[in-house]
Amino acid sequence: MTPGRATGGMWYTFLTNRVAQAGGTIIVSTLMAILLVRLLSPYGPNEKDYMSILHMPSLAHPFGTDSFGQDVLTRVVYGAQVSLIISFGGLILGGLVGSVIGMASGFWGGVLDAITMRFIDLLYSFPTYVLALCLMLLLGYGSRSVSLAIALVYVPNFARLARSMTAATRTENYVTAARLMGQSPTRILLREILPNIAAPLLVQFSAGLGFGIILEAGLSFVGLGVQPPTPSLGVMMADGKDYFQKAPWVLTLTGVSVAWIILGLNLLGDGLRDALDPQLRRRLS
Amino acid sequence: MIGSFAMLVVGAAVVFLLLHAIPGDAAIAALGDSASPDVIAAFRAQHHLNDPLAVQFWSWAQAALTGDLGQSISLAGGFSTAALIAGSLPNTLFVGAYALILAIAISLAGGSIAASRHGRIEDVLATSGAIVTISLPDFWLGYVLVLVFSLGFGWFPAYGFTRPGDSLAGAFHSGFLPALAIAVPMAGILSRMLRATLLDTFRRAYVVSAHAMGFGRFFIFWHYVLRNALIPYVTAIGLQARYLLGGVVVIERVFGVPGVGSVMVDAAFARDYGVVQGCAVVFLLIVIATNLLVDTICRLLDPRRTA
Amino acid sequence: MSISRRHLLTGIAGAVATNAAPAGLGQYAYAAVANGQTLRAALTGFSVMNTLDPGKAAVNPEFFIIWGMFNTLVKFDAGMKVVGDLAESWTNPDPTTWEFRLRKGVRFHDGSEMTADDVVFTFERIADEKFGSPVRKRMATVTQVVALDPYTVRLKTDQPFAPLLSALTNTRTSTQIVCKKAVLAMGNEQYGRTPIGTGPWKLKEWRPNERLIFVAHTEYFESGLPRCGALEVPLIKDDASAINALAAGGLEFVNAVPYGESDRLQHMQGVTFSSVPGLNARFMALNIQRPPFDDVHFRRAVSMSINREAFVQAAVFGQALPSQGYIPKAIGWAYDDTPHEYAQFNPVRAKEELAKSKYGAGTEAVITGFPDAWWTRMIEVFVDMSNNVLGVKFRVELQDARTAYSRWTQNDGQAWSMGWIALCDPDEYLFDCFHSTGWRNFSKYNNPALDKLLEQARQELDREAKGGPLYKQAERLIADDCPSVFLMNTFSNSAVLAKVKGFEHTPYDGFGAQLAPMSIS
Repeated sequence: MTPGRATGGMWYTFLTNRVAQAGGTIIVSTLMAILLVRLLSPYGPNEKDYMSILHMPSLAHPFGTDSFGQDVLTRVVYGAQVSLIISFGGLILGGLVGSVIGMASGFWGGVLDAITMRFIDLLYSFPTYVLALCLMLLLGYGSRSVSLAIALVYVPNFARLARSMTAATRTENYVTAARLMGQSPTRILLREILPNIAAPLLVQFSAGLGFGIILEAGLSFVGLGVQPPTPSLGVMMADGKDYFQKAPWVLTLTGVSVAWIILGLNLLGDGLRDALDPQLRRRLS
Repeated sequence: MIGSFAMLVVGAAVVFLLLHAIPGDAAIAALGDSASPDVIAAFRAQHHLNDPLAVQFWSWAQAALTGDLGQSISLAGGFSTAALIAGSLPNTLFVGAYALILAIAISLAGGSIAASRHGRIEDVLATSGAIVTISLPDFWLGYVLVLVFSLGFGWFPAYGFTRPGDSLAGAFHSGFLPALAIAVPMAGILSRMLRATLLDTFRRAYVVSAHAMGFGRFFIFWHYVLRNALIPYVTAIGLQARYLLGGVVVIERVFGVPGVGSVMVDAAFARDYGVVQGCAVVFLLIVIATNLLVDTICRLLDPRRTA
Repeated sequence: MSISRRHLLTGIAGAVATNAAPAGLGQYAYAAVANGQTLRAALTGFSVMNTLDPGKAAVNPEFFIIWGMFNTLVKFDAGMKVVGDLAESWTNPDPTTWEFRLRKGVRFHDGSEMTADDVVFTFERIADEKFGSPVRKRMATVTQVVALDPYTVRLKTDQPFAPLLSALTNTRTSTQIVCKKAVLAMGNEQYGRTPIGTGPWKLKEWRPNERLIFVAHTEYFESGLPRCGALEVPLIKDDASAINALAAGGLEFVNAVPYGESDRLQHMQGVTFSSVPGLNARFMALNIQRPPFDDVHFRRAVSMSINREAFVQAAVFGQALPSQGYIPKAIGWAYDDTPHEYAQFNPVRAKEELAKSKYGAGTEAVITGFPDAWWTRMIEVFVDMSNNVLGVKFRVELQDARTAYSRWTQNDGQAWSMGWIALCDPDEYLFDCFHSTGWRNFSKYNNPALDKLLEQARQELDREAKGGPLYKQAERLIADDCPSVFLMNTFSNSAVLAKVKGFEHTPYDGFGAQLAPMSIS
């Protein structure tokens, strides 16, 4: 099979997959809501109004106001954007580093493989949250550190996946052929192996995106994440938690928004996986 | 075995270096706003914080090799790290096991129903339920559970955990909500993967031939399908161990479960490096042990692997 | 005897009631103590305490507990007046000599009697450099402590030192009287984990990061106290959770109610809410050595750009008094309430001062703080207000509390959102923080006129009549220069279940010291 044809078929399957459609609908509608709110909202994300603190949801404030009198809906929209960017950045970095490590150690094997994978195992056995926390203490709080923490948590996942996939494709005919034709290892890795292992990595990426948002929220929730006044979904939930009894809408609605976005991402990821994995698709049909 | 040991040593050294790169030290943490320069100096001298890093690590490692994980200096002064872990690890293990059992129960039911009623309404319900629960942040779920079941119905305490050693019934009662908050997203992950592997196994040649030989549906499901599908399922459970140990810190905070993750986080904030390192070593040991356990279970489940 | 029997009877009646409370908190201690009620009093906002040795204690949660386990020579009453505790009376034969007459028959938790010997030992231990007590420097003014007889102690100071009495109260002083016999028997380190004091509560078990469990000290010298047979103190880091537990009946007492919850608790059924101006100061500490806060006009401009009444509403939901200096209202005799120009909100004057300064609108500065609940609010509102009024560009930078504080002590940064909590004497607030030799004067503020004033106040043994005006004058001198932007003096808010009787609120958040008279009906 050539990568080109597989990709075309993949897109067709992906677009006609009902799960992917549901996920796509959620994400597209969310993006449209983000756009709409950004265009139409009379409030800024950090516009404090000390006269209307913790107001119930109303026409003026569909999600109510938070403890600074800021419009929760506006902040959710801006916060979702911030959280997504942080998670995206973290996964790109973690995915790149992890894949490079994994592909290299899967391709060359031997001592390099043994040593790097030990490190990866080590990183993997360290509890996610504590790892992220130590990094926060080390680098200081802020969006960039959260991204790095997400990256660090995901490096082992990508490395393990990339390694096993690379090791499996190393002996395939087209790789051997490329080798016999005298192509450089880098070229083989990029031109022959990467296109063939990209699919599972992409699935891992889409699954990680949702978890990245949860990790960001968890860190910001205990006050270690994004710096105020920047809104992020975690920062907002942390604020909502402190006034949960008095103003349950802040935590509840922000949480529902988070769940909604992650649901969309997960569904998209599922659709993507089905589309990318013809064998699985055949099995499950 | 040697590999695991090397991993432990390297792990400890990495953690050690990482911690010492963090600004601030135990003196500031322990002395707070009473920390005048002379007192800080005295504290540092007393606890050998001025020694070169290599010397500090060596003395720690030497003691650790003999099973002595040292003493806390700024988290709970004078308590041995071993005592701190012994006081908190059982709580973590209890809530973790509790959550795991709930997650297994929910996912076994959900996954098998979804797979055996493939494509019908039960499947759709279970599958969408699973993906929704995966999308919920666990700590958010925790607060909602408190609001509904503690403050609303008053069925469970809103905060606090009774140690299993004090009262087992109390532990089950007070540990239910935190365990549930952890179990629900986990059950989503597990039931999705169980469903996929079950569907896969249904179509395997030996299952199809068993059908042809006229074995009963239930017999086939129990003896052929489930047993084989359990191997990836058990592996997936093993992967959750890491999360159960240290990923539930936020849940522990929400419900007041005095677990080892919370000790580790508080120790990191208090710059009590010895305690963090001790916890890290115990974490690594448990992860290694879990991997062994998972391998063993998988071997037991699959006779072909014993060779 | 009759008192203790009645106590026992009410205890049994109460035990039945306690039994009905929801499980979770407190179950264990109830089971362990058969002859009395268990008071469950949460310590909120903290999960770490490092020692229970008064001589070593440094951070607030440690003292909160120590106050219930120990006594001092004297103590503050609810009106912040110094009254006797272990000392029945005291005299000043001359300005550098203090003689304390001790109570007789006071027993430590191990049953031994507290005598002048223990008092002398306590002070000698603090003075010992090897011991490394955080208050050694502060108590260095005490040059001699002798026991004149088993019930009389004489302290000599190197010069007249008026704040001495405050330093002997049961607050953050470290002068709580320890048991000589027990310290020598178990050693300092062990004593920090299993301390023996004279206080109403005797430590039964300390579970680090989780809770402390106490039983009543049956031989406590104040008759009839403590009223409950056992005390359990869960450490609850997240104060919102503590309120949930209180509302669900899992706690009897919460020492620090989150400000956002105060108005809700005031109207909650079955809960008594109590609020007094606390013993604290909240402010933005400025680095007067570095731009832009090295310019006095710029500092004044920032101070005048803050509408403190609105600030208090926004940052702590009105649960504070606006302040213009360090000394809190609770220390009434030294508290200055004449409005100071630079501490008043005045956008016009603020802009005038800004025009006079080296820095204009658009000046950038980073304000360092830490992400603990409302502390973040305080810094966010501050930045919002000064940016709006002056057009400056202040920015928030959060770090963990230890890093932020240690950076302040090294004068590393531009400004820090900070507070002093439970300091009980004006001398601690002003001399330590603004005298050129004060050890908390991290930004090296230097004002010779102020130095003279504060030194004079230390010598003035008639504090209320003569010391008070000096401190008020000192506060005004400081406010002229704005080395810190003084913001507010927060309330101490406590919540207790209505069925609990005998709660008396002390301004210094006297957690452990408030629990003995409490009983559950």
